[in-house]
Amino acid sequence: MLDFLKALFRSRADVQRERLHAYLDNALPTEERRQFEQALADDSALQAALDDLRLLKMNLSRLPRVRAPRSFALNATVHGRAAVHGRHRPKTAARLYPIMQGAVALTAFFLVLAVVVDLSTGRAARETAVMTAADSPMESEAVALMEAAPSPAESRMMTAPEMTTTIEAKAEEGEMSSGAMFFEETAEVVVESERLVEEDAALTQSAADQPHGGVDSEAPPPIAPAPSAMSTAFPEPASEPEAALELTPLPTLDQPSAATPGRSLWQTAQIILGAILAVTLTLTLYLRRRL
Amino acid sequence: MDEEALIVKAQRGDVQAFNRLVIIYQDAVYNVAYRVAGEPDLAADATQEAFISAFHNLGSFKGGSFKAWLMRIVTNACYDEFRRRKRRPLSSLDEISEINESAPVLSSDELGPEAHQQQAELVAAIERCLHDLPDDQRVAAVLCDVEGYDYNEIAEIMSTSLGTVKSRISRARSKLRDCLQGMRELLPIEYRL
Repeated sequence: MLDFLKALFRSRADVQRERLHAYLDNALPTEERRQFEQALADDSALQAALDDLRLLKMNLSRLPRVRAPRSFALNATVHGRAAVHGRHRPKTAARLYPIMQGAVALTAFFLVLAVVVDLSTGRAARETAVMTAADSPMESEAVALMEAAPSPAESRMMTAPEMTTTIEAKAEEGEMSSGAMFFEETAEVVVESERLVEEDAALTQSAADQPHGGVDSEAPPPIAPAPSAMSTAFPEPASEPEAALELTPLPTLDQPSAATPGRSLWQTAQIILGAILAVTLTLTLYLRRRL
Repeated sequence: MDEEALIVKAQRGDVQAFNRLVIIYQDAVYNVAYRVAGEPDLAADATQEAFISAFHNLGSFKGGSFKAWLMRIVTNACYDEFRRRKRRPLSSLDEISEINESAPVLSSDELGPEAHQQQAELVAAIERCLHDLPDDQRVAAVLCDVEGYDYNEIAEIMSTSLGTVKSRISRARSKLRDCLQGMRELLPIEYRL
């Protein structure tokens, strides 16, 4: 800024003088040098001034070289002064610095490796889940129909005919298949089970109304549920009405699979390696400042 | 071992490697300090401080001319010495002669006694005129005409712009010329400006 202001207030004589000295020192641009040489040829006073400057420059350059009066090498006393200023441990820092650099590089490499393996393992698990769902259409339909069917809580609120109607109405909206038939039969079982529960309740109530102490009176044994088409078609009898509607939920894409327990191990490794990388990087930067 | 290897070792704290660099450059550094400071004791102090400062700040040297980097440090050390002590002006040529005799000079033995005397008088006159210059103009003139650095190198050493360097050199030479012309009766004919 100051140079710019000085340049603004330079006189013509100052500019000429600077050009003369720059020409003497071979510091003029080519075009300016050519112009100055033309001016030199036309101006004898300028030529005389240049000659004086050339003699002065020569005399200055011939000033005798002065030998150093003593050695200025740093000795113990001087080095001690340097040590006071915090340079007394450069050797340790110099030895540790390349080691820490290697540690940072190695840790970063293993961290990247852990991240890559974790990502590839997770992708494989998702692809497996997708393939499993695509290979079992009946199960997928059953899932869809299960979603269409009222929940167990809702089914308790409904009567059997209402539930059947609901299932039939929703099934009519989509394609019907053996899965729908399965639910139809399930609804029939529910109806039958409700009837049996009501009869059981009635018998229990009547037994309770009879006077106590009658050793001869025996409560009639509870009526076992009659065998139905479900117990023959499906060898696993349901103990509760609601249990017939309950299906083992298929694993969805969002739920973590229990088949890949090693994935949490990679995540733990990533956390540990990340912490180590942060520590080694901090130490490396500290040692770099000390050097 | 080459200079680059010595610098690398010195940057890692090897004092012996740094001392080898000191031995290589101490004459050149002392010369600049002597011509700028004008006094042997002050020049020696500035030179020692310059090398200590260079060892402290080796980490800031990122390549380029190590000599120019040292010259920057020693000129700053000279400025610091000027501020630290009062500069005693040289009042007579006798004092200049005494100073010259105390500083060992690397001069040619080819000159005869008379020529040697004439040269001594010229040197004394130039040194006196140099001492009368302002500090920054004196530094510019020493670096340019005594040490032979070009304008760009001088700008780097003095941490200033090219235009400022040109201005300082032109003003320094003009004042030196005027000063020597005032002493022409004392100079040999062939050296009179």
